[in-house]
Amino acid sequence: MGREKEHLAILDYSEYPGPRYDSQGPDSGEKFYVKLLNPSFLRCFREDKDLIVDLDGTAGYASSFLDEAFGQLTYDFGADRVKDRVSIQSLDEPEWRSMINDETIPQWEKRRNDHQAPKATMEYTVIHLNESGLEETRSGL
Amino acid sequence: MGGTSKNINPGKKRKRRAKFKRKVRVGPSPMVTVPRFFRRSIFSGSTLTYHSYKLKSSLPAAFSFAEDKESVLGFLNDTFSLYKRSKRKTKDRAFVFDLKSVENIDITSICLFLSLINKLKQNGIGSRGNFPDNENARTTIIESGFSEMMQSEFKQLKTKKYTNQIYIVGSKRVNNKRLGQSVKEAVGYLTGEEQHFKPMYTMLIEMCSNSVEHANRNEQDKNWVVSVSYEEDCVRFIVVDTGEGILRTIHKKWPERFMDSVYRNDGDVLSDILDKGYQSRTKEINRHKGLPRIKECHDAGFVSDMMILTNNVLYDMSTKTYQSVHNEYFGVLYSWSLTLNNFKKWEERKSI
Repeated sequence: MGREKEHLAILDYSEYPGPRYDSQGPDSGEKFYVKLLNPSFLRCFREDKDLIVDLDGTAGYASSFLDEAFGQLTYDFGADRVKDRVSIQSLDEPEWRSMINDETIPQWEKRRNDHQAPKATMEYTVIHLNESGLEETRSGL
Repeated sequence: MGGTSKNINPGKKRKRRAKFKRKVRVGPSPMVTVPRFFRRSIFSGSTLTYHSYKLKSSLPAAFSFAEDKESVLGFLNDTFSLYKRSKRKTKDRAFVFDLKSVENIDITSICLFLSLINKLKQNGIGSRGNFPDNENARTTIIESGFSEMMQSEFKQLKTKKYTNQIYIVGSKRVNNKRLGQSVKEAVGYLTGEEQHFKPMYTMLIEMCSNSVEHANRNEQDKNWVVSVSYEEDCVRFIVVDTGEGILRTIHKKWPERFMDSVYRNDGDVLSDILDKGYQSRTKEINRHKGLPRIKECHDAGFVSDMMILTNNVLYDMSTKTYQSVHNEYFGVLYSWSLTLNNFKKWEERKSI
């Protein structure tokens, strides 16, 4: 029997998703990660659930928005855990799913291994898993 | 005893003399001759008034990007280099642009001109100007919303009076909602129903995001202009960002810059960037996804007639050819059109 599923629609965050960093404009990928994606994934991880992220319904995306959001998720939890629990739903533009799975996740996994921390343009604290799989906090700014 | 004039540092002496000369100028005379460093510039006939400290420059008669791009780009470069040369010499300055002799002007050159004015404004330089004597040129400028944008000091216009209007002027932040709205309106114009058109929103947000992310390390040089023109059977979009340009931004490490300058021309490098080739060559991870995405949208037929001007390259996406421009453009200009067919292609793809 499969795991229970939790649904996260980006439309609930914004109809007009913005740029990569919070300093560059409203509804950024960075803010989406901090406010919604990180807590949702963490909850799913703790409660042994899958997370379905729905990209449909919005006005569209900049590649940098998705790269920052899913990239930071990979940086904080590792590619294996993200691939195991997160499935991306994008009926309108399936190419985003390919970009995230084939480019963003491997590239940010490399950043995780190289300890190349994400750039922060807003104040935040998120929880991530370190190399031993233990929960730790990571702060921005 | 020391203290004779012989012992005074010559540098200090020059500074004192310059200070004295500046003091002398603060007098009742309304006109002051142009300082020597201006005489070497193209604006040799211009004068500085004591009260306003305005710099004067005249736009060429043929200020149309479609017809004479070199003349438009040359004017932009000359004006900005004039500002840079005068940067440390005077404090309060405002440019006065003389448009009287302009006979031919188009929306692309207006956008480029506006982005220059916005760039000057962000550097603390005001701008003023007059209208062309030529009626057609005057009408084009008025209908573009250019003067309203100037009068409102670049605040966003709430009403759209004309069909050929500059839509948004921005600087350090992307205005997602406004960009999304412009897409909806364009689709509404073509189909009769305002709705999202994802590829177009993606393109606009990629362009403006690139502008604020890569444009320039100097915050005050970041700015972008979006213009939307409603034509009979299509909607034409122009996005202009000022900064350094794609090719100057991408060439970050000197070995690559050297190799590209020796073995490849700028057109090939830009073509590579658009085809994702550059990312693999430089091994720069999680960057440069935006421009390939823009090209994918064009190649899929979701927009038409896309053209990119950056640095010394004018790239035509429809024919996949490029030409070199003599006067470098420090920034990026994108221009494309949206037709009903483009939107139908997207609808068809969604239904598959």
